Amino acid sequence: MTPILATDATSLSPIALFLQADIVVKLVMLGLLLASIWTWAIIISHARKMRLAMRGCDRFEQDFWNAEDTNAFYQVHKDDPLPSARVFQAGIFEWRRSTSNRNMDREGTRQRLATTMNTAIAAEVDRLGDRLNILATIGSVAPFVGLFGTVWGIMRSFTAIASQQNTSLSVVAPGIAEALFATAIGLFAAIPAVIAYNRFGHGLNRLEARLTRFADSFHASLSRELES
Amino acid sequence: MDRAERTALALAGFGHVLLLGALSLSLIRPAPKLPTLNPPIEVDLVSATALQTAAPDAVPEASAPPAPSEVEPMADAVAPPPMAAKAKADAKVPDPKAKPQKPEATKPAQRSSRLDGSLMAQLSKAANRETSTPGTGRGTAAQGSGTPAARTAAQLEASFIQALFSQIKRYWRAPTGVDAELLRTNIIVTLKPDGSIATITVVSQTGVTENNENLKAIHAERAASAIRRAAPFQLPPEHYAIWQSLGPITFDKRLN
Repeated sequence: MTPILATDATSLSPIALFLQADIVVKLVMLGLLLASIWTWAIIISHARKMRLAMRGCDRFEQDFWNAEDTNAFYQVHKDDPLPSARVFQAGIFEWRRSTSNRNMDREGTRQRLATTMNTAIAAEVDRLGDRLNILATIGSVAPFVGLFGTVWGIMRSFTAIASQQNTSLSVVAPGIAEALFATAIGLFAAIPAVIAYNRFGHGLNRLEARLTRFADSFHASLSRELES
Repeated sequence: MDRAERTALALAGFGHVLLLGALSLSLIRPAPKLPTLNPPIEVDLVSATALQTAAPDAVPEASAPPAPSEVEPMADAVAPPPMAAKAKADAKVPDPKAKPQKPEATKPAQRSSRLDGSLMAQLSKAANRETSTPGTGRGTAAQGSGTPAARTAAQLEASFIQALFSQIKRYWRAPTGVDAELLRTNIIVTLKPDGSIATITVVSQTGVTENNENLKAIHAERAASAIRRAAPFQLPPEHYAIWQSLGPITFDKRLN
């Protein structure tokens, strides 16, 4: 089979449908295509980021609980960008600042530790969930944009019918097909975006819960240190 | 936008271009339309009626009435009024005994024979023609007036061709192949009085494309052989003049 660039509308070639469309519909289609590309870029990069973060947190927490000397461990992981490591760094940083002066307030130190680590968790979740709002926007808006293109295209083909005084299906069908193609692209962009948004939102919640657990455990051990 | 995101963007763009390309290069295309198994059939009402319709029923009535209306004004115009009146009066007398079965037609003819002048010769000639064979009815009446006869002959020929078709159809097998249904062979058949074939002449062939070029000889040959095998034909012998040479008969895929 020799691949030929299909430019007839009957073969459902996207190029042909795009070329035949009105300028407004063309713009809609281009915008939706870019939205789709962006969606997938976010999906790919975010999936990779989340996978790395989860795996890194696993390893970090395992290393942390196995470590004999917390100070030495901190020296090694001082600049680690992992979420768990950031929470750990924030806790140690606050611990050192609070315990540096002689007459320290134990209760105040505990509260400060909890607050700093919670802030660190929130910051990490914020950083990871940076692009998810884009997915949500594309997922909810793309079908409407596609629908706009379709409505515009159908309006245009109806005026074509009116001007040609001919209502046979062969006159009406191509215009409507090219108009519906706009909705098709809209759905093509929106469906992965919505699925990815839900999935990543769930993943992010899991990560947050996990960081909170880690922070609580770490806080408990620091608080035990304070009593002694 | 860091490096990982740029890589992801490039990856997504590449994927979209790949999908678009696959769709545009018709690698994914809808299945081709299946040909309709039962194409619509052409129905010809003539073949259903055939011989019966060709009988010229209307001729005796049609030919007779025009005679008086045609003759009367001319007689009035040419002949002086008293003479016309006399002619009318005279005409009444000999009428009944001359022709009881066709009074309408013979009345003006006889009356006009009493007129003089150049018109009289014509009229009497017409009268002679009409009165010479008064009893034979339909056939001569058809010959007497021009247009119904021509129409009748054409109708008769068409009905004879239909009769021929109904006999040939059994033996006709159109060749099959690419574009074979487009082929048409026109044949003129001349017949002997007993209904057997004198000559078969292939006049022309239409619908020849480069695809069915090799089939046209077979098409003509099969058409001729179908005629030969269907002979002799039973056709009314009194119309031999009409069916002596029939055609051109068109042989297509479905003979009708």
